[in-house]
This record gives sequence, C-alpha cells and structure tokens, in this order.
Amino acid sequence: MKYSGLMLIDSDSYTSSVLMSDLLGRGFRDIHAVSSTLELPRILQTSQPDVVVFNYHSDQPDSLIVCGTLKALVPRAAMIVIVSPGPALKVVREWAKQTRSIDVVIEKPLSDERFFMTLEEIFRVKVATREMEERAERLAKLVPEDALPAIERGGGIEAEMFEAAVLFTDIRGSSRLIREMPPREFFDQLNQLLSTQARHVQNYQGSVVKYTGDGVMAIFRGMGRSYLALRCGLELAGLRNDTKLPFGIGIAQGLVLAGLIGDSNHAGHRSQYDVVGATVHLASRLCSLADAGEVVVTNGINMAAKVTKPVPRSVSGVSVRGFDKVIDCVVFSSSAA
Amino acid sequence: MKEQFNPAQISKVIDQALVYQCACPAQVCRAIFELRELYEYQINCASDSVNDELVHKTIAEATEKAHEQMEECLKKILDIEGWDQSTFAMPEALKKKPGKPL
Repeated sequence: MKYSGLMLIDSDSYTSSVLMSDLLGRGFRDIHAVSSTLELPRILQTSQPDVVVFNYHSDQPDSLIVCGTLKALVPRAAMIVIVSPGPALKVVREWAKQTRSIDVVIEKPLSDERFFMTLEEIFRVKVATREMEERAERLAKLVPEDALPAIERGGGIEAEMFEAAVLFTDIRGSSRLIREMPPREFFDQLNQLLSTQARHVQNYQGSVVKYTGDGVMAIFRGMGRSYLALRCGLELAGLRNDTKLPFGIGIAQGLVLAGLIGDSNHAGHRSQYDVVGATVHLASRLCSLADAGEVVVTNGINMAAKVTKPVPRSVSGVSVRGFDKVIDCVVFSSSAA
Repeated sequence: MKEQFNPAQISKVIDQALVYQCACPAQVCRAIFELRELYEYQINCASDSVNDELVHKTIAEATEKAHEQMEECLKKILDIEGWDQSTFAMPEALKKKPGKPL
C-alpha cells in the first residue's frame, strides 16, 4: 500500500535524508521534508499533511513549538515525535501533556519495526476516516439539511413545530410531456430544472424538504421568511423561458411540524424526514391552482412580504379542497413582471 | 551515582545514531538512561523494613556497577568509532556507511 501526505520535519540534514530514504523504501510517497519551520507557511499553502513526523533533537528544546503550531494550522494531522530516551523524552511527554499537540511519541533509536508499524497504522486509520467522511458527505447530500439535526437528536420521536413559509413547485402537464418527450430527455430536463430550483431556494436561505417527482417542496424559516419565499418564488417563475417544462408555484405560511416519519429501528425499515401540517397542504393546493409561470400565494404572505413589484392580481374567496373556509389569494404572473 | 557522560551528551549520540546503520551505540546510551532511571526510582522508594533497605541497597550497588560498566563501554565504542568526544558529533566516516533499512 502506498501512503502519501506525510511531512517530515528534521533540522538535521543527515538524519532527514536517511529517514527520507527509508520512508520512500517503505512505500511512502510525496513526502514533504521540512528543515526549517520558516518553510511551513509556504508548504501548507499547497498541501496539508495527514501525518507529521517530527525528529526532535534534544539540543533544540524550543523546536517543540512547531508541534503546537502545526496542530493549530492542521488539526486533522497526526503528530508523531521521535525522541531520545532520558531527559529529552520527559520534556516531550510533558509538552504533549500540556499542549495536547502530540499524538504519538516514539523513542530513539529506531532500531525495530515499531516506527513503521505505527506510521502505517496511523495512515490506515487516516485513509479509513477519510473514506467514512466522504461517504457521510455523499449520504448527507441525499437528505434534507434540516433532517440532519433531527437524525443527530436520535430517533426523532419529538417532532419540531415552527412557523414557516412553504413553497411548492409543480410541472404543468407533466403526464403529457413525459409521453411526448423521450424519457431520457425528460429526465435530464427535470433533473436540470429541479437542481436549478433547489439552488434558488438555497440562495434565498430556504431549504428543500423533498423533490416531489415533478417539483420541489421547500421551507423558509425565521425572520423575513415571507419575503424570502416570495422573492424566491418570483425568481423561479422568471425561469419559465429557460426550460421546456413549464411549472407553477404556490406559497403559504403558518405552523408546520417537522421530524422523522417511519420506524427505522427494525431491519429493512427506514425513516424519512418530512414537514407536515395544514400549511403544507395549502401551499400544495395553491401550487396546483397556479398556471405555468404563476406564483399563487395567500394574501397573508403578500401582506407580510411587502413586495411592490410585480403587482399581483387579487383572487378573493378561493375554495381550496380540504379547507372549510375560502382563502384570499394573490397571483403573480411572470409575464406581467 | 557517578556520571561520566551528562544527559545532553548521551542524547546527542542517540539523536545522531537514530538512523545510523548500526544503532548499537544508541542502544548503549539508552541502557545508561534506563539504569539512571532505575537508580533514581529505588532512591525514592520507601524503606520501611530492614528487608526493604537491603533490597534497595542491592539494587543501588548493582545499578551503579552496571552503569559504570555501560559508560565505560560507551566510551570505548566512541573511541573505536572515532567520535569527537568534545562535541559528540558523529564521524563523517560512519555516515558514509552503506544504508540498511531501520
């Protein structure tokens, strides 16, 4: 196995060269040899080591400072210090205890396999850790960002209730479009459109809860949520000329419940993060009322957002399925913008 | 305990012999440090009984003897290998020895 990402700090050119030669012989590659700590800033600009081997010379006690400096600049790097036994070892151990900047101390002379075994083990752990982090990062991209705190809370039995503006988008005539377009082209167009919509949602500090098949469901929280959601909706509506897939938008505001739904404690089962509530239903219904390029929002959202342009058209007394009372809405049309 | 070499001198030998193709001088240095630690350790031990005193006296005598011998051994080794015993710098000739993996 080839290891890379090693930094060797040794002020003695002879011991450094021999250590370097042995490390290369053991399969270590791309080793940064540093003889003076003054070189560190330049080297760290181009690459950051996974492991640092520092050959401590007992006649240079001040040189131990480099361990603390490196730990501060590259906290992920493992710091190995090789040191002669006796008083020097005591100094290094005390320094390690006080500063926590040294991970492993190895005694000189390095006449056995311990040094390389330790080094290889640290690299194996580093590689495994990096793979886990990359995997976690890939998986994290598959779940809504608001879901991560719920997952970390463990179990997600407690749903969170909060005020939010909920935005839905939905493609108009998608059944017809999918019949008329080659499936691959439809998928590519859909993927491009939803990715663009998600980017706009993020730009307006919202978060995508899920892709609903033909659209997105997003929420906006905190101060200014109505304004941000409406501005986002209007900007999305302006995208109509950039896509072959026309879509409408609906936005409503109110209390929602968020949390993990489903029981993942049993093998083969899984939980899913979702946001539910009457507000979510209303936003979805308003979306279904919107024609392509239109943003249908409750009057409440419009009043709170105080958006002056474009001027919407009022639609009073809209009867929405599942709601007993009629809803007063306004409709923004991208063609009127 | 009498010391022929001070800690800085011994550490300097080890530091340089770290990657010296024969680390035997460094191993001798290490043994000297360990003997000194053992001597220090037994000095700090409580001697609550006659037996305790005898145990520690026996260890102290053996340690002093071994320490003296190992220091003498180190001196001879450094002489044989041509180390400068004023600076304790490794002779250039040793550095040029063909390398053997650690």
